[in-house]
Amino acid sequence: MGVVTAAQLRASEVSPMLPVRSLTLAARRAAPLLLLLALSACQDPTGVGLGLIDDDTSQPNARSLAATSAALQSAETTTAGFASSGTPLQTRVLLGSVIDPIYGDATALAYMDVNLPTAGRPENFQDSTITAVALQLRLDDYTRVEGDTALYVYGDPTASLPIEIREITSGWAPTDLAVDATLPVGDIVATGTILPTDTTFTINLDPAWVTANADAIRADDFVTSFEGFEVRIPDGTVAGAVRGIDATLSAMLVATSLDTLRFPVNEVLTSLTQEDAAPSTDVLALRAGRASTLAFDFDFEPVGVAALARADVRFPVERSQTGGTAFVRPLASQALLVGVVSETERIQLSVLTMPSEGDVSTVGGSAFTAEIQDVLIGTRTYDRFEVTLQSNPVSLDLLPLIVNPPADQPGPRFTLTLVGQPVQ
Amino acid sequence: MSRLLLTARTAAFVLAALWATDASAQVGGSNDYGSIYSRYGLGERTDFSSSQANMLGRTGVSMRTGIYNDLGNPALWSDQTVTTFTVSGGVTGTRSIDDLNPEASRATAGDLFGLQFGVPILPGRLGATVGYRPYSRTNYRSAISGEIMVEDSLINYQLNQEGAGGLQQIGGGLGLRVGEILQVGASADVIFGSTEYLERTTFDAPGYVETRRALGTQYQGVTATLGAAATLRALANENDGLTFGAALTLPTRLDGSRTLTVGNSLDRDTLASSVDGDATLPLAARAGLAYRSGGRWLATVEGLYEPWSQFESTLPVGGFDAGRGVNELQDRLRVGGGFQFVPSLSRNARLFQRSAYRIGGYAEQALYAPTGSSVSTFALTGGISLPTRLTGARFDLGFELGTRGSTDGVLVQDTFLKGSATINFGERWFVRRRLD
Repeated sequence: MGVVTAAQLRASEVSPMLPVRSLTLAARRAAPLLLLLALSACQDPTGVGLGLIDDDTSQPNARSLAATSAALQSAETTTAGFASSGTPLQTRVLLGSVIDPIYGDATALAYMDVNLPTAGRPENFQDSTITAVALQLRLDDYTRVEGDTALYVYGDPTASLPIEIREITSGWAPTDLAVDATLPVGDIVATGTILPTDTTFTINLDPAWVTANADAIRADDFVTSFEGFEVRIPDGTVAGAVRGIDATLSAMLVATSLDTLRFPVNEVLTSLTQEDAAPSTDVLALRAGRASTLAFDFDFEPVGVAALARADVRFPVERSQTGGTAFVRPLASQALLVGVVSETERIQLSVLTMPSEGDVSTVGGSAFTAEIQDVLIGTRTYDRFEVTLQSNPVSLDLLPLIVNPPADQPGPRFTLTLVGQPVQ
Repeated sequence: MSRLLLTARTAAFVLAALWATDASAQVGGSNDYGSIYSRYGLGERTDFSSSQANMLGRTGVSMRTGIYNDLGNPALWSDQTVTTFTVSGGVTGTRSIDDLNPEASRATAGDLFGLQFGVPILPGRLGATVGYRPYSRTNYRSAISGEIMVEDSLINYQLNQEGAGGLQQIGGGLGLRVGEILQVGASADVIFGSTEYLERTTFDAPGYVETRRALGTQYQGVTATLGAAATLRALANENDGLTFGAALTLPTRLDGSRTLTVGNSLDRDTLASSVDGDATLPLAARAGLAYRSGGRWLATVEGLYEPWSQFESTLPVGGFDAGRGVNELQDRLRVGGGFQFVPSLSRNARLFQRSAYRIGGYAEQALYAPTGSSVSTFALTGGISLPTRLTGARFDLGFELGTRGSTDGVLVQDTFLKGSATINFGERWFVRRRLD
């Protein structure tokens, strides 16, 4: 009896090799492929094996979290801006007046300054004769929540707007102006009436004013020396409607012996005065152009910490006094949801979209859901949430939210799609 | 010049192995899946010791070959006469069924089975080896679809229960031949890694994000393995030998740190601080016999015992929660055996006559017994070992076909097919050649 040595074992395992080049090459070539094959992976999973995991606490579940308080609060807003270049942007001015016993009377004056023509003035412009100056106003349209397009009007859509045009007499800039700010003006340079069927309204200015200002219009410093026009309804007149003017398509037209030049409107201001809405315990209404927001509090504590697949905030809308045909109250098609961390830190979280029927709500999304996930986890805290209307384009759009719904109807709420039970 | 070329080839394979290790780690965390049973304990145990051993019914504790360094028994490392390097990897396909679902689940996963590097300090008497191999793998996935009503809208979702990760084992040691019969060896192994139980939910609607809730645990610890082998020669003829081998891996306590994360997609937030704990792995004992006759025939049998009924953990794991009195773990037992046949030892024989053909099989009682029901695995193993032009180098292609579990109650029956590719290199690096 003896032992088998390693050398003997080795000799038995590996016989002296003849050149087998082809195999060696094949092996060498096959190795990377085999490694790739080994590292590839795919799967066609089913529920096989879930019985072994036996975890019925992982199912998704939807949870509604009602607002604990709701209130109107004051906030900054602006109705001024630049139509095409500059910040803030403001593409519309409002004009007219309306009596609204539900959501408050409103009066709007429009101030518009102009830029030089986009293509500049011709070289011989200063030698030309100005034969006429006109103000051309393009009536603005908008997309209603029903999806169709209409001229923007708040109030009686059949009402005509008598207007007066005056020249602004002092320098101004469309920044840091109050919503109801007015500017000093001179004498009337034109009067007219915007008919409800007008889409573009053009009115010639007083020839005397043209003659008096011809040199100024031709001057190199026209843009800085000329401050624009005020367009308003006459004092004491209730027009019955407020209309929108598209500032980006409105202009001062200057006719010369050579050509007609278009000086586009750029700096704009709507001086807007609004009375309060009729008091209501069930509805809190935002109307654009008012310096106010709707503030809501939510208590996330009872939800606990769970994975969040989608977060939405939803508000029931009081639609019965909106829209309409004889007296139009446009519903805001969008609003902004702002998270207030502190009085100096506000974060725009999402956009609320108004459907043709039902609640106005956010539309989920990863960024908003991630923010609310952080709230659930506790890494983010909001003092409150606010709903605001966009300041551009300026409007009288309404957002009447039902804050005290009937017992069988939901009110303002977060809808949270959670996965699994809260972590203890 | 030829030595230079050989070294370059070896280096290339080392690089390939490193790449494979890195890629495997990446894949391990993403999309490779296997059996649902890998949720139990610290994952499905893996037992790579050598490609030859795997092809012969996962035996190897008693096989002396001179080429294959069996990582399971350090005593056999004393047989090394050349410096050896091995890289082994493969892919496993698993088809799973149960009585609760009409459709089968199919999964495919690639993995690096092992790496080893061995050096003969005293050729044929004293050898050192370092190696890497997975200790366990957690790579399950099960998905179920459902509907949820959100604000009067019916939303479809899919809930995925997934496991990822596993423990790794890196170690090294010495094997020594004592006298003409006995070999002894010892190794120390670092066991480390992480497992993650992930609940991933997707929704079939816009505005929803994928959610993830993951319980991840990192482990680390050290263990040791003692091995021995005794060989008797010329029992039935002058060229035969019978080897008895055994190895014992000591129980070890792993330190663990557990973290719960919750969030959307990959953006997850850690909830609270990590929870520390520990888990005690049971010992592992292997013993077997190998009979070799004339270099052409080899037969081997082996048994394995791991008392997972003694597993302890302060952190709940699949099938074990001391706090709730849940313990679905049991002792792991395996018996296996195999045959190897080499048609010809002649150097003039054709390639496939000089190749080694292997067939084997094993039966195993798993370390888990869900709801008290034992889970058994029966597998057929085999493959071919091809010689190459390089002395000491072999290219092994193996397979393993088996079933695991049953469809009784909540149990799952897996049918799996594993393919493996292994390259073994052997070169004289540190020993002066007598003939060059």
